[in-house]
Amino acid sequence: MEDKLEARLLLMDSSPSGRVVESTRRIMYTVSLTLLPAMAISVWVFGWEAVRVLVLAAVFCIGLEALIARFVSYKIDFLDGSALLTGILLAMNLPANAPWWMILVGSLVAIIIGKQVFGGLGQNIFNPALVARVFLLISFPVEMTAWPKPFAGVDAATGATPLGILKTEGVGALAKTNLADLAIGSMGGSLGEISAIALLLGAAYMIYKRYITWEGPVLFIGTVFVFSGIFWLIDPTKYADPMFHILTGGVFLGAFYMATDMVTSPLTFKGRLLFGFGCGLFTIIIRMFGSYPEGVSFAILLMNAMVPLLDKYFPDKKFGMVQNG
Amino acid sequence: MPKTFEMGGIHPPEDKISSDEQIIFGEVPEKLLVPVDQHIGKPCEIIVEKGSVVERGQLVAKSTGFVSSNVHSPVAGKVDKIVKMPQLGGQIKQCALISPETSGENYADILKKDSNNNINLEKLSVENIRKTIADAGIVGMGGAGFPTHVKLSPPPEKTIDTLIINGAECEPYITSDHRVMLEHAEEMIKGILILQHLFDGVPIYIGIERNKPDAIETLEKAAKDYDKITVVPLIVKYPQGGEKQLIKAILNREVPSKGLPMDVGVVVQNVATVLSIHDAFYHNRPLMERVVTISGNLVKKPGNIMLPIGTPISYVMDKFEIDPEKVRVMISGGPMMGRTSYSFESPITKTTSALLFFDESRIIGRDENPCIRCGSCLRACPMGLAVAQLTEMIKANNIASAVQDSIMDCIECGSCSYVCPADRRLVHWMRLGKNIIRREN
Repeated sequence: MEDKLEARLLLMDSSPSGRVVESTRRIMYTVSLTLLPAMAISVWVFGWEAVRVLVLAAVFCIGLEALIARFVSYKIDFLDGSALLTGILLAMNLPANAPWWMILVGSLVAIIIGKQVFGGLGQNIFNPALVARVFLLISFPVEMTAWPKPFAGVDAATGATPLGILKTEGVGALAKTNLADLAIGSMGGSLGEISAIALLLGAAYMIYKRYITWEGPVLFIGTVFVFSGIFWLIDPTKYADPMFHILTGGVFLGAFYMATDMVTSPLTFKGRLLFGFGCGLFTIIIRMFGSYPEGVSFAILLMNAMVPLLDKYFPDKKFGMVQNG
Repeated sequence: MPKTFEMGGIHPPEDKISSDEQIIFGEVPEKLLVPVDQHIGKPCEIIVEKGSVVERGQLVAKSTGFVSSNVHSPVAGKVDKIVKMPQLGGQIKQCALISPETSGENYADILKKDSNNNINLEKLSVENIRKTIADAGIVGMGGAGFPTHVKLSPPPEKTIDTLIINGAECEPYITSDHRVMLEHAEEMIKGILILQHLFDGVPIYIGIERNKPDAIETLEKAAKDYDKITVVPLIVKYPQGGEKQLIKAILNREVPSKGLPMDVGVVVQNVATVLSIHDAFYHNRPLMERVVTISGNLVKKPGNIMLPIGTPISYVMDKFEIDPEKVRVMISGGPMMGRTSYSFESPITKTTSALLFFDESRIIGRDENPCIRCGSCLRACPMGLAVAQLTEMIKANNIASAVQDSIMDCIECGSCSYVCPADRRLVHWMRLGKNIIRREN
C-alpha cells in the first residue's frame, strides 16, 4: 500500500527544474587533469621520485579527509576531487626528494588547518596547499630548500633553485641559466614550479572552460615583470632580468593554480585585478627585500586574507545602476 | 544586426518540441473549476453561489480595487458549489465548480458564437479602452498575472514613448506564444493598434527570438502596412522575456534599480495578452481561455491547445494520453520559472502558458553541496547580482546587507540555480529573502 502511494506522489521543488551538467566533482577532477602536463614534466626532470611525492601527497590528503569525515557532523565528500587537487598542488610545492613524513605533515596541515577547521570545502580563507607549503618551509627549512638537481637520478646531489642562487650569490652566478631551459622546466625547484609552458597549457584549458579567468594571472605575472624590470633597468649588474623573475620560482604555478583557486580568490572582476596586482607586488617585495628567496606563497596567502574586503568594496556592476530614470 | 541584452543570461536546451503543432481545441469538460484569484493584487470577491446559473462571459468574481481583476465563466452552466482547491503553484484557493450545459461541445464552436464587432479606433476614448480591458479581466499572460489596465494607466508624470510587445518566449518547452504569433498575427496587430491609440501613436517594437523565424516572418508581413510597428529579431538567450532584459535588448535603455519599465518610458505587453485585448474589443469576449503548451517527456504527442480557464489538469491528461501513474514531476509554466504542482485536479488559470509532464528523469529536489565560490551564478545573473553572497546573507538573516546589495532587483529567473555546479538552490534563497523583506515592510 505504502509503495503504491509513494509511486504516485509528485515531486515538488522550487524552480528551476533542470541544471547544467557541471558539478563540483567535474570541476575538481578537470582542474586536476589540467595539471598532467606539469606533472609529466616533473617526472621527466626528477624521475620516479616525483611520482612518489605526487602519489603520497594525494593519498594522504584524500585519506585524511576520509578519516575526518567519520568524526564531523557535516557531510564531507572526500572523493569530490578537492582533496585530490589539494594533494597534487601540495606535491607540486615540494622538492622531489621530500621524505614521506614531511609529505604527511604537509597533508595534515593542508587538510586540517588549511581546510577543515574552517568548515570544509568552500569555507577556507587560505589556499590549503600553500598553508602547508609555508608551514613546511618554516618548520623544515633544510629539507625544503635542498632541491634535487634536474636529470640527476634518485640519489642526486642537491642544489639551490635559481632564485636561491640569486639570493645567496647574486646575479653574477646566474650567467649560465638560459631562458629556454627555464621555460621548459629544466632547473632545480619544487615539482610544479619548474615548467612554465606545461602550466600554461593546463591553464589555457581552464580559461577555455571558464574555471579560471585571465585577469588575475595576467596582473600577477605582469606586475612581477614590470617591477622586476624596473629594478633591472636601474642596475642590471645587481638585479636579475624580468624574464628570469617570471619564469623561476612559483610565479606560473602560483598565478594560474593558486591565485585562481575559486574558494580563496575574489568573485568580482575588479577584485581579481587588485588581487593579481597585490600578489605580484608582494612577490617582488619579498624577493627583493625579504630574507626568503621566494615570495609567491607568502604573497598569495597575504592576498587571500584580503579577499572578503576586495569582494565587498569592489563589486561588479549591477543592472539598473543608472540615472536615466 | 540581431540584438540581445548584455549582462548575464544563459542558454538552456530549447526543447521547443511542440512549435510545429497547430493550436487545437478540445471539448468542454464535464466540470470547470474557475479560480477566484488569478492575478497579482487585491483578491476578488466571489459573486455567485451554490446553485447560481451563469452564462458564458458572466462575472463570477468581481474586482475589489484598482489593482485587481475580474473573473468570468467561460461556459454557460450551473454553479455546483464553491470549493477550496489546490492551485497550480501550490496555494489553496476558492474556486467556483461549474457544470457546463455545453459539456462535450467543441470549444472552437463556442468561440465562433461570440459576437463580431467593428471597432472605429478613432472613436475609442482612452477611458473607454482602459475600462474595457479592466472589465474583461485581462492580466499579463506571460506568467506574472499583473492586471493589464493598471500597466496601461501610468501616472501623468511618466511619459510613455515606446510600446514593446513581448514575443521572446525564452523559456524552454513553451510554444504557446509562438503559435499565437503564427495563427493570430492579424488579430494581434489589431490589438496592438488599440494600445498604440491609447498612447498617442507611439512606435511599437515586437521582440521575437530568432529560434522562431516563421513568427518573425509572419508578423513582419502582418505589420508591413504600419510603419510604426517594427519586428525586432533577438539573439536567443534566457531570460530575454524578462521586461528589463527585453527593454535593454531592443532599446538599450536600462530600467533603474527598483524601477519599472515606465520609468524609461516603456510599457511591455505579452503576445497572448495582446490577443486577449483584441478579443475583448472585437468579440466582446472577456479573458476566459488561453493557449496552453502541453509537453514534457511523458507526452507522446506534445501540442498546443486552447483551453477554457478552469479546465482541470486531469482533462488535459486524458486528452493527451498522459499516464498519471508515470508522472513524477508536473510543472506549470516553463522549467526555468514554472512551478511544480501536486494535484491533477488543479485548474488552468489566465497565466498558465504551459503544462509539462515528466517522469523521474527530470532533475529536481537535489541536495545542496558547499559553495566553492566558482562565480558561475554572478556571471549568469542578468541583473548583475552577487548571488553567492546574497544567499549567504539570507541564510545568516543579515537582511539589511541583502537589501543594500539589491536583492530586491532579483527577477527570480533561476539562471543562478541552473548554472550552480554545487546544486545550491540559489533562487529559492533569493525568493525567501525577498519575501522576508516584503513581510517586514
